[in-house]
Amino acid sequence: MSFASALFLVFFLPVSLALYWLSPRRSGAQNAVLLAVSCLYYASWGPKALALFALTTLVNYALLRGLRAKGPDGAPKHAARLLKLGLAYNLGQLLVLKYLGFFRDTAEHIARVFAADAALPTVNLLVPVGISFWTLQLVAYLVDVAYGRREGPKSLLDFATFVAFFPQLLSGPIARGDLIDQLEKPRRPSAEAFARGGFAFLLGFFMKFLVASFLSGLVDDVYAAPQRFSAAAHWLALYAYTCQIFCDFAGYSLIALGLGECFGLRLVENFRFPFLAKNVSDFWKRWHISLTNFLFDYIYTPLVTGEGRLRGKLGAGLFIVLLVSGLWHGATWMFVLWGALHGLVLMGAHRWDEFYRSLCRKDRVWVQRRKSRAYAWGAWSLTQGWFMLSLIPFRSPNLEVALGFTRGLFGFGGEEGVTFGNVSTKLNMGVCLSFVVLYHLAGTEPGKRVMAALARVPAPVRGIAYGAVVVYLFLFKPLSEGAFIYAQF
Amino acid sequence: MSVAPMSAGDLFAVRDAVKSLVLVASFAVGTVLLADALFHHVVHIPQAEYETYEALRDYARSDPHVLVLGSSYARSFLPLADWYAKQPVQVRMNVVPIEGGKFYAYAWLLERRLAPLIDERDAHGKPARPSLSHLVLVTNYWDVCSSSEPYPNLPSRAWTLGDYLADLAREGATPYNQNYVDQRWNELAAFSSLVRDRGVSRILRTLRERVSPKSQEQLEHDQASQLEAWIAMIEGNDLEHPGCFPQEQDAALERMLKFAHARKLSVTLVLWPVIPKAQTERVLAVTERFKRYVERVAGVYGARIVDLQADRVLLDEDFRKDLDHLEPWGEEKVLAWALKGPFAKFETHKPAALGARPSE
Repeated sequence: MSFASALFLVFFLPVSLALYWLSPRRSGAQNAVLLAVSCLYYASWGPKALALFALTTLVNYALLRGLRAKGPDGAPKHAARLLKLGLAYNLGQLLVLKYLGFFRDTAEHIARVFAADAALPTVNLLVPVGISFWTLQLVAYLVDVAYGRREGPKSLLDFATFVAFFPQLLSGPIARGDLIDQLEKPRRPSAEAFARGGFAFLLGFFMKFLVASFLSGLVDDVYAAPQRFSAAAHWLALYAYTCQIFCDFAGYSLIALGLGECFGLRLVENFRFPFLAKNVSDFWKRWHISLTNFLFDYIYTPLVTGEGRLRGKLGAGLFIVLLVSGLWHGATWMFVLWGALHGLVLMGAHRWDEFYRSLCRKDRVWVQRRKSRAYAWGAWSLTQGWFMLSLIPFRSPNLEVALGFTRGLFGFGGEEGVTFGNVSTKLNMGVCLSFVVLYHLAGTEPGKRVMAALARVPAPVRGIAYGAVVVYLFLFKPLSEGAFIYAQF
Repeated sequence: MSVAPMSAGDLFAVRDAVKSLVLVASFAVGTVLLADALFHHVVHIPQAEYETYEALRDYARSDPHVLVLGSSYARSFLPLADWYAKQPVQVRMNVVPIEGGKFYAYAWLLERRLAPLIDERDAHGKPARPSLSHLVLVTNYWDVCSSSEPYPNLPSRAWTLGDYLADLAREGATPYNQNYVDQRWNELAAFSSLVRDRGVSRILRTLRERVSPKSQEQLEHDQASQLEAWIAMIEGNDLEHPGCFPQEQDAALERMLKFAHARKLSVTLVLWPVIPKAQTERVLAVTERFKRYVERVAGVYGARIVDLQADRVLLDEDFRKDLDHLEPWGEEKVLAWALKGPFAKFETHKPAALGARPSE
């Protein structure tokens, strides 16, 4: 059930909100309603996966209960063993369901190098939707409880609601223990939260279901036959894809945040104006923040600090983290390549930082240079240019397509330009392509001042503006939603 | 744990926040309604057409002699149904259109929705609707090609709530069964120009034309492009096209003919014409091949075939701008043609008692 569907907007959401806020204002009752509607929502994406999801929740709850149990000396009993068991269960399930086919195909390719007709049995497993997201959520929580950073759930109901909370269930943001803290307390409806939620929902809806869906048409056209299109068309398609993927996922995250607010729950921010970043490290602190935080908290830090295997080897740690990020995004070698490239660039940026710091220590003039406008623009252009180019393998199903598209960028394609159709399509294309720029301008200091001033405009004016956005959506939102890129992960 | 009571200060703050929220929401809703009303005045959005579910409801209320099943073209038989309904000796005709229909969709309708009505028995074990004696299938080259997507018009136009819930339980909420909900929403909000315009873009088109009207040259260019695309589409629906004529369509036609044969219904297949100006050599080859195919299959079951294209009943100006459906005067021509020949007389089992379209 898509967030843009009539079933969701007209029936599921209003009924869920009504049931939730009309239920007794106790955490147990509220969570019971939330869990029921979340299960219904999850079942709507394929009832078969619900059983596995429920089993995973129960297994993790049992493990967490075990982790909370303390021996006579007050120390947790069997914590290390239970944590290993939990990690094996969750990650094993993810590996088998999501990656078995990938491993099988790779093994078959290798086998074919030695025996021409090697064929392995085909694997057709049901991949529960959102498994990449809720597995990370469970792993993070297990680790936190095992290491004593969190107390563990007080009840199965709280825990199941934490895992199943529908706005973030399929595609994050990857929730951490603070969500369960919120779920353990009763919630009260708040007009401010509704206002924040409504705004985030509308903005996210606009980004995901208008901008991303509309731009996907342009991108798909050029990717379908890159040899036909000119270099300008390729660059435009690459820019459009950058906007598409941002709006697709940041839009979804905003919708999730907005829905969370409407249920009185705060989810973590997932995007913070990533296209304002002036270095790759900063970029990853702004893009899919909940994933980056997970990777750095649960992979990078244990690897490079303390007793970690890569103690002190920060560059190698960065490379591994990005490699894992690539593989997490999808079970194909193109995602692995994408992750590896980002890992190398992050390593390079880390080295550059060390080198530059050494220059600064020698001569303070380098500090001034780093603060200069030219350095900022150069760094920004390199960071964003690199990210855009890195999306070529991300979008390509194989290396051949990626190379073909790259050739097209440099004029080795055809001569055909992109056609925008009639006046209204052109208008909408202009709105979609400039939206991401305007959105990011709002993240700059002058932009923040403008936004603050806009927030102070009288309520009727804001209402008219929201209404106008809804009318625009009615007129321009494509019937087809296009692919939800992050739902595939 | 329960919520702590609020202080007086909190209550004032809450009151202001609620007031602001209500104001924002009211003005937002007001803006949408105002825009909707404005579009309603500026843009002509035609009334919804006679739909499958209405036709099925009408069938259940009546006892037709003739069942006309087809894609949107079947609607052009509504004037004939009305004409017969007004005659002293009525022939009740039930027209069931299914938008963009294919043989597969007709068969689904016939087997899943119409068969229970056709075969229904009363308390004494006698047929509840005994009059049906003719089946008219309105078809054209289009019906042999199905896209790889599941056919969305069945959920939206022909499913019952039971069909939807069964599919929902089996598959979850999919874009396919979503069509059922979307259509119900469209019916519920039929008063809204914005809702009814979704996917049709009449509002944008009208506004565009008002802001910058197209020159005669542009209009002619657009029409030429549209015709070119139309011809290409027909040629793409050739039986020999690899994407066409999948087995499910083939089997569906046979099943329908068997269905009629088993119930002793006479069958007429009406071959719907292509607009004359699109009848290029290759287009004619496509329609001719389709005709030969239909003749071969229909011949086995003794079905009659009538060809509106071969009879040269319709001219370019009888078609709408979409190059596909008929203007009212085109439908009048079809009526005259039908009464002059192929549908001049129907053998009916029993004298009629009810009109063809009780809802009208």
